[in-house]
Amino acid sequence: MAKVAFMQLASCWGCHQSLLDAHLTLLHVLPELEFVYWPAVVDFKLDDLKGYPDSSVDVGFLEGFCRTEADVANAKLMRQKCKIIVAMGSCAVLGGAPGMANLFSREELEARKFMDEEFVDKGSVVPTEHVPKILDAIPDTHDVIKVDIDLPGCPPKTGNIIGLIAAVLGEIDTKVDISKSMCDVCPLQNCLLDENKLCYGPITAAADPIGRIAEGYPVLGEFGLTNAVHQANAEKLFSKITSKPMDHSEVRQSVEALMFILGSNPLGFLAKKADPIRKVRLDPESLSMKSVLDKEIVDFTADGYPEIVNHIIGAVMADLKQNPEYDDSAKTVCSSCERNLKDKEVVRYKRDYEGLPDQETCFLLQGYVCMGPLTTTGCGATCIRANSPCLGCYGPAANVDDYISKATSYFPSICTDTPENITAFFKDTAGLFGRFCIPTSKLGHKISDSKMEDK
Amino acid sequence: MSPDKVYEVEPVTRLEGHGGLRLVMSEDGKKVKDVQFNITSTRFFEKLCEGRFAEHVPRITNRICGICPVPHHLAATKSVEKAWDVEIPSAAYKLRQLFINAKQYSSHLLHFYALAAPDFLYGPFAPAAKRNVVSIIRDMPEVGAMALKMMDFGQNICTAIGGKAVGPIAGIVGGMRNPLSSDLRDGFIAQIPEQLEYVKKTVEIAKKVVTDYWDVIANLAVTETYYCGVAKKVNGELVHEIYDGDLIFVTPEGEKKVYDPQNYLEVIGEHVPSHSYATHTYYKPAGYPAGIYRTNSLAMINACDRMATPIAEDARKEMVKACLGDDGKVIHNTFAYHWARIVETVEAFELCVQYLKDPEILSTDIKTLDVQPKAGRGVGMVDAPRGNLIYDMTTDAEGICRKLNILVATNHNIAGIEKSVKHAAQQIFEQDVLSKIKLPDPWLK
Repeated sequence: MAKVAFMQLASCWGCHQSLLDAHLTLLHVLPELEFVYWPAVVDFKLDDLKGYPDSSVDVGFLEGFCRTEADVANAKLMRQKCKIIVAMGSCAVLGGAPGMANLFSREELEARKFMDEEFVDKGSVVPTEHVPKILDAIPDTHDVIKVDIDLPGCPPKTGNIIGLIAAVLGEIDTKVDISKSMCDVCPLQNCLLDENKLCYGPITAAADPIGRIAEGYPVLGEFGLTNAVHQANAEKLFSKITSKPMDHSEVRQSVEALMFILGSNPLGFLAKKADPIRKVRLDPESLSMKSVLDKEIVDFTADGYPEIVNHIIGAVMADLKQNPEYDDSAKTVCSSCERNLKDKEVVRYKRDYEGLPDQETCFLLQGYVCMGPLTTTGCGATCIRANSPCLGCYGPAANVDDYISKATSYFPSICTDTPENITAFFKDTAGLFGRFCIPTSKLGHKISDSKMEDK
Repeated sequence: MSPDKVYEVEPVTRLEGHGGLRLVMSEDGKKVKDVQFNITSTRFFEKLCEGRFAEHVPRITNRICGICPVPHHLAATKSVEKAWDVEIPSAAYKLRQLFINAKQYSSHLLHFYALAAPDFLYGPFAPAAKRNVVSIIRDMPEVGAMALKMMDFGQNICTAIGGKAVGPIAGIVGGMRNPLSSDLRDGFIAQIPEQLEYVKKTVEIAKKVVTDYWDVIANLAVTETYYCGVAKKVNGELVHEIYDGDLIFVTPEGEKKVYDPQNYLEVIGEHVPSHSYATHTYYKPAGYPAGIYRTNSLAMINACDRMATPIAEDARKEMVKACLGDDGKVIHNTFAYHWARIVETVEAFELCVQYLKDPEILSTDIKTLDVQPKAGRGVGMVDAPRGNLIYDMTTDAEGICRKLNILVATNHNIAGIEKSVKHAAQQIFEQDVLSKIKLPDPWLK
């Protein structure tokens, strides 16, 4: 059984609730896991977790952000004990909605909470007895410890969490032998490549158990790159890819295979801008081409990869670059939004309390501020389907470096209202655009900016 | 002075927040000197909402609690509506009632099955590796499946109405944004007979727990405090109500006092302890610490004269009779909280059925269109699954949040919890009450 730990830093329990909302699926998932620490559900104490040898827990999930010194210590303890750290939810990944506390100094925050005599008893002071010290500002979790996997969302969709657990556990429970390829252990009588089907077996490491390939499914790079490429079959794979444009299912299979082989996260929406497969759509001009065996492929070279593997990846990228079936649906929330975009301009921005948005038309075209165009998808446009504009809880899309600065230029630029009206409308750019990401934004760090200068 | 013995529980588990418990005993271990419940986390939501669009606050503070985001979302929305004098359409009111009762249903069941039941099914002294809901799912898969299907029912209604069950978004100043579709409604109605059977089974399980652990309920931590609840006056009677009621205080002697939530500051004081980031609220007329009170299910049962629905009212009467006999006025038995929670669960289910079957629940007239911001102040109060929840919102003329005060269940409960834990510790360590209390054989081993 895989050992799993859940840590709550400063958080709301919502990510846990989202996991528990898998409900009947839990009957299959929970008994497969050994929970070594999960204070929300299981009675093990901090000392129990401290008692485990270093790196002996398979996966550790962090919910929340570091608000106190105890949170920092707990995050570091998790890093020490766990092989894989998953930042679960927007607080851990981006800083979260309560990360807006970074818009104020610690003194301002404490004064309001503990010393405002309109509400609290006269003469009250900040508690100090047996409570951990409050940090001056909420740091980016990634600056506190190394994070292996980001799982954004406020909360992450239940399916995203279960999918991630399944993907990570699949890796843990399978023995991978990189000194062989899947072709070396393939039980099929007839090679799929000979039947003109895609299979990334020649470049994929051998696995035990062998998985779905035994039932005739193609290998899609699930177990990473092998050190012993099956050269003959790899050449067959290269000519298969370059023979004609890939169809819809081949595109999907190839994107999945490249994600595994290149070590991108298996969940598409987590992919980063620098990923080659993302680059095909976001920055195609940066890709240079070359000719291999009379085929035009992308000049892709990764250190340590055999030449044929670089060629296969380059061939897939060249195909994706022109393939209309590759819609890069992992791009923004708009890609999973079904609303109409019949007109192209925003006449006036509206506050959310004005009127009632119609269910058919793009929120922006109705004047409601919707973060969809700047937000990475993964949620399936959940809020939009409930007739509420996107707030950006999954974080900036791959081509957005900083939410606040991007949104501050984007929203005024698509509106035909007067500059005066637009300026008057956006009274709270930090709160509207930085709702989930102030601690990880390049802007808005009253405290940590000065800290950075001190360094 | 002799040195003290200190016992620390870090963290307190099966709790949705962040806390540690500290028990200070005399050196010989015979005298309980102090009990502290240290709430070790805070996120400063009140301050960080200053400067935000007030109508956005319900989509910020719904992140205070992942278990009860619906009550936060609705209490925040109500506070802005009060500040701006906004009335909502009756269909929106009904959607919100269905919304908050569905949340109450799933959250109470989560509490009973995932947080509380492990103690009763495996016994309070079972090993930590056993004493949890994961073991229940392994050892009693049919009960686990039933519990999960019940939570599923409540959470799915929350998703249907709120867009999301965690971090809901569909409430808006002036009503709701998203009408309920007949397809979804029909799907929920089709599940009612099965859910009703589950509710009955849950009541049976709860009754067995009550019978088995009666000695504990009747004798351990029967702690006198004030109680704070929500109820609505109907024909001179205080009727149990979680979305739209008055603020009720019950004295330790059982006298009920009714207040307009808008005037909560006249009766609720906030003490800042030196050992907890959650402040301790108290009943102002009695002062601190005399005015320490508790909230949540038992307080709600103490605050009302009757439940809003028939099966729940029968269950309440049975509970009151068992705990108080024929003439008592207020239940102080801490362990009766679980029973009270089941009574509330039954009511939440009956209300969900009532609202699902109301044709108006499908209405698309769910939002007042002429909402105008203004400088104002308003209080929005609901009863969340863990207790009373108050939002006090001040906005400027442009509808920007300028000041916000939030009192959550933790504030209301924490001093009362400390008091009852200290009481139990005294009984256990000073009076050796455990040797006199009869504990049943665990159901599961």
